[in-house]
Parts: sequence; structure tokens; C-alpha cells
Amino acid sequence: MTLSERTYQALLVVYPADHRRAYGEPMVQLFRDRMRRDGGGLQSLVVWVQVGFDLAASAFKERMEAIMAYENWTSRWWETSVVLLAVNSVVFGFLFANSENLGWGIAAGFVPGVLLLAGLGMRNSQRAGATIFLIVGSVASSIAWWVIYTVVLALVIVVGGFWRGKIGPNRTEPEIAVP
Amino acid sequence: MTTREPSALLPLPVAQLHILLALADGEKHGYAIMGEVEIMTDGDVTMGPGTLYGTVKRILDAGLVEETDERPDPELDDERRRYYRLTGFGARVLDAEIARMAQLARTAEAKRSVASRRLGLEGG
Repeated sequence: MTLSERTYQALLVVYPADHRRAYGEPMVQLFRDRMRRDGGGLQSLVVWVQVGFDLAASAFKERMEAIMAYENWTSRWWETSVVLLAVNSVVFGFLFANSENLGWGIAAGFVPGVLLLAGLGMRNSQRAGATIFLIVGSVASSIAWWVIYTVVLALVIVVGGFWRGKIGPNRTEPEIAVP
Repeated sequence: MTTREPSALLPLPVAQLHILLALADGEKHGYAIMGEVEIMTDGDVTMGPGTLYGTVKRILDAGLVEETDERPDPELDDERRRYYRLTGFGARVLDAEIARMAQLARTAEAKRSVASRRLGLEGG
């Protein structure tokens, strides 16, 4: 395997693990074929630029798809919650602690945040909307409200986690009985 | 067996259409698909590995193509290569997409004629 191929193979780490496992090998094979056909000297740089753009764009797409997948949000409850709480607390809480829009911040962030974290079987678009509202709510909060908000959010995560544990993370919609 | 209507998947994203067209005349591996797409587009489109296999994943999930163990010429080929071919449902979706595009082309042509006449009149 050439240095270029090893480098490309290493760069595949930017894709989600599932995608890498399923398609990593043929992707390296295709890169190898492409290099053999078009590479050599400066042409290798041209191939690398094209492949680099392709890698960045497609990895972003695969990552976004993986993030928005229902299973990732519901079956990995604790990891998702901890990440959301950490982002909420550290980044937005401290950066935007002096905003005056307290009420809107709490309303806009808290209610959809609860829905998001409780994982009430929302569709992807609704979940994405709730995430945005969650972030907006944090942005708009003052330091005092931010403390309350974050504590309540933490409670929601804990309670929601136990609740979900009771009913199971991978619920399916009840089937409609056909008479 | 897939029971969905082909029209439910239309219009196809361009990358999916390119790959389905590349597979229309028989099974191919990734590199052959890439080459076929280049030929079809007069070299305008060279699919990178990420785009190609990301798209392959989606059309596999949608049941438009399937992986096959058959090799056109096993003696000449690397057995590690993965070959893909159209499914029956994939062929029907491709047919529907081609028909949709043909209809669109007819409409565009008619509109273009009307626009030319109108602009010709306004210009004259």
C-alpha cells in the first residue's frame, strides 16, 4: 500500500464507524484505482484536491445522517444527554450570560428541550427543531436563569433516563388492530 | 419484495440517477461505475469514493440495487471487488425517472418555443 493510500485510509476516520466498516475497504480500493489512472507527479495533487473535497462533503453528510438517525438519539440516551447538557452549560451558558431575554430564553429552550430529552418519539425534523430551540434558549438566558435552567435540565435528563429505562429505549408505534 | 411505488422516490438525486444509469446495462464494481459516469457525462462528473459509496449505500437501502457475487470474468478480476446490479424495483424506478425527465424535456421545449416566439414578437 502506498503512502497516499495509507493516508487516505487514515482519513476515513472522519466517517461514522458503521459507514467505515461497511465501505472503508472499497473506498480505499477506488482511491487506489483513481490514483493509478490519474495520479503521478503533479496530477496526484489534483486527484488529492478532488478527493479531499469529496471526503469532506460526503463525511459531513454521513455524520449528519447518523446524528439525525432515530436510533442514535434514543438508544444512546445517556451519551446524548450528557453531550447536550455539556454543550448547553459550558458554551452557551458562559458566552451569553448577560442577555435580557430571560422569559423567552427559558420558554424557547426549556419546553422543547424537555421534549427532546424525553425522546417522545418525535420525527427527525421536530427533533432538529427542538435542538435549535434548546440552543436558542440557552443563548437567551441570563446567568441566574442559566443556573436554574441547567439544574432543571440535568434533572430532566436523570428523570427522563430512568423513565425511558422503564419503558425501553426502542419503542415502536403501537399497531392498529384490524377487525 | 418491495411494494412501494417507484414514483415515491422521484425525482432521484443526480448521483443516484448517474449510478442507476451506469448499472442499466449490467453489474459493475465501484471503479467501473465511476468510469461509466465519466463517459456518460463527457468527463464533467468524476465521482469520488465518498460520494459514490455514500450513494451506493442509499440506493442499497432503498432496494434499487443489490450486491452480487457474480463476476463477468473471474479470471481477470480481483475477487475482493464488490459488484452491484439493478434490482427489478430499481429498474422500474429508473424507467419512471427517465419518463419524468422526458416529460420535463418536452415541457421545457414547448416553453422555450413559446418564449422564443414571444421574445421575437416583443423584439420585432
